[in-house]
Amino acid sequence: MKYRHLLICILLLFSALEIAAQDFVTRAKIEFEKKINMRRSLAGQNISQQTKDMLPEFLVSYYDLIFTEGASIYKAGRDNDAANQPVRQMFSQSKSKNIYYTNFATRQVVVKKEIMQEDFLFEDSIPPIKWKIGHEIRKIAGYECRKAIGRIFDSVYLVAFYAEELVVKGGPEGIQGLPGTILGLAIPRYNITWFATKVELADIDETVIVPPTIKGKKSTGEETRTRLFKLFSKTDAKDPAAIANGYLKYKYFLN
Amino acid sequence: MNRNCQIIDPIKCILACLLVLSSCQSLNAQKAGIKGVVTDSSAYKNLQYAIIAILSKEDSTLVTTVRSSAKGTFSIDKLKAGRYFALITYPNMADFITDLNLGDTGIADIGKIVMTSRYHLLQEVIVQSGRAIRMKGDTLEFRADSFKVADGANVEELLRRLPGIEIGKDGKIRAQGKDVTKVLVDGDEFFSDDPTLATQYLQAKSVDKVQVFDKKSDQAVFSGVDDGVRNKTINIQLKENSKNGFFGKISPGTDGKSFYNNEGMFNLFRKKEKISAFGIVSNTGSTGLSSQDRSQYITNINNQIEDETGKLIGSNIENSERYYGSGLPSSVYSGAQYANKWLDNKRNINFNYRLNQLQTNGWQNNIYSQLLPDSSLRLGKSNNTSSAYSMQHLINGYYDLVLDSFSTMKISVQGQKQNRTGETESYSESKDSYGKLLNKSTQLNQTNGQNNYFNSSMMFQRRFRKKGRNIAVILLQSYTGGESEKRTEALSFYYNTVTQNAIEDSLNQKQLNKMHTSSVAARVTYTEPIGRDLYLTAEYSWRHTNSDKDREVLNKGVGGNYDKLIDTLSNSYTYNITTQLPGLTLRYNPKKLILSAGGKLGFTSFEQINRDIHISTKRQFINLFPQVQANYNFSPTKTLNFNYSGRTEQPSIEQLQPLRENSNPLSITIGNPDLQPSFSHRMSLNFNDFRMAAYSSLNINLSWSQTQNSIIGSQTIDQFNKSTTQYINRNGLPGFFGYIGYSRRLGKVSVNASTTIGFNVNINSYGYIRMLNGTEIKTRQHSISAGPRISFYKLKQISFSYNSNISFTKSNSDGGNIGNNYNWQHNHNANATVFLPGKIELASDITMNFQPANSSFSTSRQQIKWNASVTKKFLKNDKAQIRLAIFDILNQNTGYNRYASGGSISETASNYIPRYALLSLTWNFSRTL
Repeated sequence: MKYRHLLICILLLFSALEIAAQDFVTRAKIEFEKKINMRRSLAGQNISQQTKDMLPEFLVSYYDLIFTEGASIYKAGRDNDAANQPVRQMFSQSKSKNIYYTNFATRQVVVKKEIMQEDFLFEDSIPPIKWKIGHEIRKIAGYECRKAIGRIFDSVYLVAFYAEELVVKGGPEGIQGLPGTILGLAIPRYNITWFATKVELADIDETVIVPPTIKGKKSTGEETRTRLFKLFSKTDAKDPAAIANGYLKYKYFLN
Repeated sequence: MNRNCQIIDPIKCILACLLVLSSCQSLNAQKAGIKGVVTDSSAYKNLQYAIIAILSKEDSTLVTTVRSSAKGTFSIDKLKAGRYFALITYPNMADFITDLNLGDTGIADIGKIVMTSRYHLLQEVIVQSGRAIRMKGDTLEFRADSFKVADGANVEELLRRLPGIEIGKDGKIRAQGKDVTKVLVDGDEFFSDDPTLATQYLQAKSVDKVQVFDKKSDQAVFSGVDDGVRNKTINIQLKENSKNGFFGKISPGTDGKSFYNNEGMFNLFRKKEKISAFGIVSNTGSTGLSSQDRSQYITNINNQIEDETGKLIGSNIENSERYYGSGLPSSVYSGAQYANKWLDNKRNINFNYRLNQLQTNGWQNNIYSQLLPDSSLRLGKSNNTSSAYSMQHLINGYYDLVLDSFSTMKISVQGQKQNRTGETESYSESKDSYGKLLNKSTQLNQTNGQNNYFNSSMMFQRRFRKKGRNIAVILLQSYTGGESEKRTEALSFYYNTVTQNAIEDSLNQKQLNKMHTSSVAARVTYTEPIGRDLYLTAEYSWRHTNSDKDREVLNKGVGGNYDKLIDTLSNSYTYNITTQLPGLTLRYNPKKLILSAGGKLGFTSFEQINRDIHISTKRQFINLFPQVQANYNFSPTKTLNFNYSGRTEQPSIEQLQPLRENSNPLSITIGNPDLQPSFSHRMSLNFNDFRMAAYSSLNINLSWSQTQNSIIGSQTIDQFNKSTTQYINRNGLPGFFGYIGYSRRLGKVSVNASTTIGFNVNINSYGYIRMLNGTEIKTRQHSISAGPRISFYKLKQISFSYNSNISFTKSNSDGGNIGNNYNWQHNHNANATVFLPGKIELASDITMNFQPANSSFSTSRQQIKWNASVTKKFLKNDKAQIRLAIFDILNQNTGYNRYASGGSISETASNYIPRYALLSLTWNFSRTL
């Protein structure tokens, strides 16, 4: 009788080990390193060579993606101000206040975005990206990731690497829709890459996964469109209405 | 209605169909779905969190994706009707891909999906490059980049690295233990029947993936009814950038004096348009596969409709475009191919031309002993020298049309034009057991001939909405024509054994042969599903052949011209043959099992018209072709099949004609008009098991055959040792053949190093009957050969392989005790390549043959052929190499052969390419456009 219990214990232990042999992650905190190639993105612009030389080649910043099986949030992570000081000064930029929230059950996204020092809230469905799954495998942050190539807005190509072992279909900056979590992403047209630097599985603070809000402002589509139109009317933009409409058609993702 | 509008305006018709289809789709939009279960092959445990991705077949974009539940199940609904792929992935498991064809409504159950662990497949590869191997339905797919080969290596080198693939010394390929019958490049044929052109001249670097699969017959693919026919096929998928550019190689080689081997190939690929050309100019006997090997790679077996007359009218065509290993050859082999696809791959054209020129000079010496039934012995020897020249032009092409989603058409053509000339001078003599001369003869034979053939065929296939119902129509035409002129000068002496007085007999004549055969044929095959997994196929073929054969034998007249026609030896005949072949096959084809039984009846009416004496002989006969087949597929790589077939075979016209053929006065053949057709039975049992986990492959083939009323030669040897042969019917002796082969990898499997061991056993037992001077002689021969093989490979360091076999043969003839014995021999083959620093490679191979003395031969015989080479690679990516090779370093190649069986023993020696050195320079070029 005693041995039987022992046997069951051993069997349980083995089955536990077996399950442990293939871990699937349903909740985690992932840190992304976002790198913008400054030299390349400023290449066509009217900036003196001297200024260009002052800039670092990459503008590096960090973001956190926190998710459970139901929802995820993506927002700025630890500071990297020392390294970014020259850029910050020159372009009077500060740490990003943008927040991306996704509810996987309802397939809804809520994005808080700062546009010209004003906060905007966009509520929408998950953006439509045409993905093609590739063969290449790359190890990112300890996970094997499979390459996929996506197309958004008909002409912007994305190169993504997603981990099969991370069950949530999320990714950085609201780019998602692949079978697993995106741990690497590149948008060649904008000279930007995001790569996960670490995946934390323990002590996830799930309470932060809530949709962002903005104080005192309504966030209906019409309201946002009017505010955007007003904002861009002040600039020398040729067609403020088109820009405002563009933002409402998922353009808030990458602009 | 449908057909009418196709003829009027196919585009309108397609548009109309699309409209109908799309309206159907929108009515029933998003009602279809799929479900299934994902399990693990090794543990048979259901897998949770496996990714099921549904990809659109049209543009392969991701449509939707889900994960499997804790029980391994998944279901996806709200899919539009259409064609999809399901890609099922799981960490550390090989990808699984399957086609989905979803109807308008309903949930399709794709059942249990078994995932194979990549850990078992290739431990190191996973880490390095992920998807090295994957199973795509029944196709095993290797990603070329995952299998490292040296820069500048050809496709053959790459294939050698792939698990389960073996390459023979002559370039023949075996995959998973079976002979590969087709090598495709990007899904298309590449120079039709010569796969070595693809494997030896294409660069491994330009290959994206290699797919190995069992190609079903065209008919089975189209109709969806499995007929159990499987042809092991390799498809070499090129990289995208190689499809838009040119690549090739140039490789001149010489020893500075008499030996040369110059090769070149050029490929220009522009999207789907491919142009290729190659040329080989050589006198070292290395021009591709032999024609026997090539016939394994025939283009379109499905298109053949036989007239079921067996060898009744013969062909008169001898193909001798190949160097068989004796004599000194010099050859030119070249060709060009054009292939293109357009209209969404619905049109596909592929055309090639090849030229093959071969000159061979040789000599051969032979000695033999023959025991006669009256216990007297005849001893003979002969010497001959010969030269032969052949020039062959070959064309081959096909045009595929996908007419609509139900019908396809294929038009193909094959043609050949060959000119041959040859001259043989020979001397022979024979003696009796006391050393007394019996005969002596000198002969000169000169032949000069040409032959042509042209075949074309058109195949139309149509499917219907009901699954399994289909019809196929084949029309074909063939023409074969040839002329030959053969001049014989012979001087023979026949001796009286007591007095040794000679009788002189001289011959100086010319034989003119002409032959034209043309035939038209058609076949209709209709398959109808008559129950669950049960299909009935009815077929009907018809063929009409018309053939003219003329032979004129002329003696040399007084004026020095050949103008005296010998009536008894000359003849001219016309043959008209009409065959009708109805057939019926019942096929039961549930999952994994195929059972089929059926047969064909051949009704042949055969008319032979003797145009000299205006007499027509008619024969009517019925041939029977029963067939039973059973296949069981335990899994795609583990199969068992059984086959029985019987066939009636008619005697050939040479065997029937009561005419003398006297071109060799010492050996005369006469016909027998009373011959009966023979009937042969054949049974075979094959078992194949290839296990991915251990890369082990086990193949067992057993076969048995027997012929009733088989046609055998009845030979009479007279007191001058002149032989006369006539054909008679006798029941044949059974034959048995068995093969067991096993191979597997040893130790840890990786891309950088591997060790493979294997073992095979061949058992052969057969017998034959012949008549000698009125006595029936039964000869039985039993042999067993077995041997191990081992190969070892370490990337960029060493590759080594060794195989050997020992064979025992026992022959037993009731015609006497010479050649009745046990004898044994053993062969060994070893080759090694060592990679040294500085991009230098040393390679060597040794072939050894040992034949110990036995009761037939008092001396033992050994032959060691040793070749070695040193290669230096240079330029970027090792694009160029210089090689010095020495062949047959020990100069032991003698062209010697010996043979003992059934009361006779013989030994032959012939001239052969001796030791030589070759310095060659190779440049591989490529450029993306």
